[in-house]
Amino acid sequence: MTGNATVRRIAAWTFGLFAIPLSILPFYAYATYDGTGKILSLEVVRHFKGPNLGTISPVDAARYRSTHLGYRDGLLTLAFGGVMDDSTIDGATPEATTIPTKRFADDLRMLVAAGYHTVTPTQVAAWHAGRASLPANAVLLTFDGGRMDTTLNAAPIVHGLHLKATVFMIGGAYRQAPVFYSSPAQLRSLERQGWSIQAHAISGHGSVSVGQGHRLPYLSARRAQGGTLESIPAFTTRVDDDYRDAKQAAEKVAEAPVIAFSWPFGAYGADHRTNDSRTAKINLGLARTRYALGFNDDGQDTYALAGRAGDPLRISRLRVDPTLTPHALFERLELAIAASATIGQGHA
Amino acid sequence: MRRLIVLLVGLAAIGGGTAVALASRSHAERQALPEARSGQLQVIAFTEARPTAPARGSLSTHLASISAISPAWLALGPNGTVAYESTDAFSRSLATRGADLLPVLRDPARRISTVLARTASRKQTAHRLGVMLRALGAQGIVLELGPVPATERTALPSFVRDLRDELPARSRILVVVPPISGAASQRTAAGYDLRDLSRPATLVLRGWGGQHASSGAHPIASLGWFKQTLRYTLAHAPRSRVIVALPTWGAVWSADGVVRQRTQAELFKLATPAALRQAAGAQIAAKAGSVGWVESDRSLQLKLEVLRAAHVAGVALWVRGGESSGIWDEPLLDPGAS
Repeated sequence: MTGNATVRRIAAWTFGLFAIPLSILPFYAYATYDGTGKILSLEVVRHFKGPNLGTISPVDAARYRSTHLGYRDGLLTLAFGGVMDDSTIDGATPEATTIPTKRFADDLRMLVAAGYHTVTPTQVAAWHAGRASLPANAVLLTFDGGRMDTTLNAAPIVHGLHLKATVFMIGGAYRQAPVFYSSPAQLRSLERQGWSIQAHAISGHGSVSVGQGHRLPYLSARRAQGGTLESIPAFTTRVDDDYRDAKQAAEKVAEAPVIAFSWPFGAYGADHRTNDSRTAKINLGLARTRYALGFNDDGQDTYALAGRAGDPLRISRLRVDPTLTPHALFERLELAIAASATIGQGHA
Repeated sequence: MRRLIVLLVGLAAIGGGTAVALASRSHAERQALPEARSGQLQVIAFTEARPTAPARGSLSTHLASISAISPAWLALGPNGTVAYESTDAFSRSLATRGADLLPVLRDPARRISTVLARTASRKQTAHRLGVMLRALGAQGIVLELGPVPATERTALPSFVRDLRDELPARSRILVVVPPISGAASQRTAAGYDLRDLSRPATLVLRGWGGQHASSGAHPIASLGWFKQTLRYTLAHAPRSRVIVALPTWGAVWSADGVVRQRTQAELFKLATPAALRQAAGAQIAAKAGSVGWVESDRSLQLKLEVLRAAHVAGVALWVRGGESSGIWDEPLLDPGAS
C-alpha cells in the first residue's frame, strides 16, 4: 500500500512539473499567432527593450552616399504600412503591407547614409506656398492610421536616428480598437518627439455599398440607398462632414495645426474605385477648403518627385513595399529622382 | 498506444511522400520553362510597356528564340525629365530566364531637339538615363527617337557617346534609324551619320516604312525596297553593328484613310491562301480583304534569308501576340541558330 501511495505521489509531482510549461502554451500561442496577442505582447516587450535600430555596412553606406542622385526643390514622400515582425491582419487589405521591424530600421539607415533629409508637412506647405525652401534631398515619412505598432516600433527607430515623421490619425479609432491603435496620449508623446499629427479619416476609413453586393471606399463613391445612388449633394455633404470631423479629431490630439489629409486607401475618385467620375473633383475641392496638403497613392508605377508647381492637394506617396531590400528601395528612389529632377536645378 | 504510434508513423509517411512528389513536380515545371537564347545572333523582341495577354503568351512560349526584350518603358518628358513604367513584372520575369532587358526610350512629344541642342542638356539626360537603367536592372537601352529634326542630327552621335560613358562597358545601346533606300529617302534622312552612330551603338534598321498616299507609313515593304535599304545601311555601317527590325503585323485602311495595325492572326483570316503564298516581284505581302495588307510567312521568310546571307548582327520583332507561328520556325529565329 505504502509503495502504491509513493508511486502515485511521484506520478502526481511528475505530472505537475510537466503541466506547468504546458500551461504556458496557450498564452504563447496567443502572443504568437493572434493579432491582438501580438500587439499586447509587443507592448510588454517594449517596456523592457526597444526595437533593433538596424545596421548598415560601411561599404553600403559609402556606396549610397557616392551614387545617390541628389536633388533640390523637390520632395519624395514615402508611405509605410505597419511596422511589425508579423502582420496583425489576416487576409489582403491595403493595410496588410507590414514591414518587418529590422527591415524598416535598415531602410531608414539607408536614407540617412544616402543623405536624405526628413521634413514635416508644415515645411512642405510653406515650400508650396513659396514662403520657404526645402532642404536638399527632402523626404517626408508618413504612417497612416495611428497604429499601435507605429508608436511601439517605428517611433523609437525614427527617434533613434534623429529623423522626423508624420502620422495621419483616424479619429475615434482608439475608442473602437484600443489594442490596435495608439491612444491620444501616445500620439501626443510622438508629437513631443518631433512627429507631426495630421488627419486621415473618421468614417472615411471604411467602405460604402454601391449596389449589387459591391462596396467601394467611403470617400470615393456614391452610396447606394434604396436601390438608387445618393445624390451628388448628399455625397458632397457626407464626405465634407468627414473632412471636417477628421480635422477636428486630429486637432483635439495635436498641439500644432492640422494642415494635411491623407486619403484612406489613396482613394478619392481618381482611379477605378469609384462609380462616378465627378467624385474626384468634389473631394479635391472640399479638401482644399480645409487642408493645405493632400496625399494620395496615385501612380505607384510611375512615381516621381513632387515639384513646387504641382498641386499640393495631389501629392503622391510611394508605398514602401515590404519585400524591397534597402538596396532595392534605394534604387527605386533613384529611379524616381533620375526621371523627374528638372534639368538645370543642379544636383545636391 | 501501439495503434496511435502506428497511425502517426503512417501519417508521417504519407506526408513525406506527398512532399517529395510535389517537389519533383515543381522542379519539373521549372525545368519546362524555356530559357532565353544565347549566342552571337541577337533577336530582340519589342513589346508594349505592359504586354497584353496574347503578347505575354507569345513571348513566354518563344523565349528560346529571343535574346533580349525591349518594353516601351521610357519616354522623354518636359524639361528633360523621362517618364517611365517600372513594374512590368512579366518583362522582369523573362529577364530572370536569361533575356537581356533593353527598355525603349521614345519621344512621343518631339522633345529630342531640346535635349540635343546643348551639351549640358545632352549630358544631363545621358546621366539621368544611366541612373534609371541601373535602377531598372537593365542591360542597355533602345533609342527610338523618331525623326530627329535635321538641324540636330549631327548631335545625335555625341548624345549616344555621352550615354555610353554613363553605362557599364558591357551595356548595349541600340539606336533605331530610318530606312534609306534611294535618293529621295537620302535627302529626307540627310544628317544621319550611320557610321558615327554605329561606333558607340548598334543600329536597328526599321525594315518597313512604305508610304501610302493618304495614310502615311505602313508596315508593308517590298523585297526590292528591303534589299536596297539593307544595302545602303551596310555600305555605311559594319554588319556586326546592324540589326534589322521586321514587322510581324499588318495594316488596314479605313474609308477615311486612317491606318490601323492588326495582327497577322487577324489579317490571315481575311487573306486568301493564294495571296498568302504569293511572293513574286514587288508584291511581297498578302492582300487581306479589300483594304488591308499583311506580311505573309513567305514574305518574312524571304526577308530573313536576305538577312542571313548578309550576316547582320540580328533581328528585331514586334511581339504583340497573334504572330504567325511560321515565323518562329524560320532558321534565323530557330533557337539553335547562332
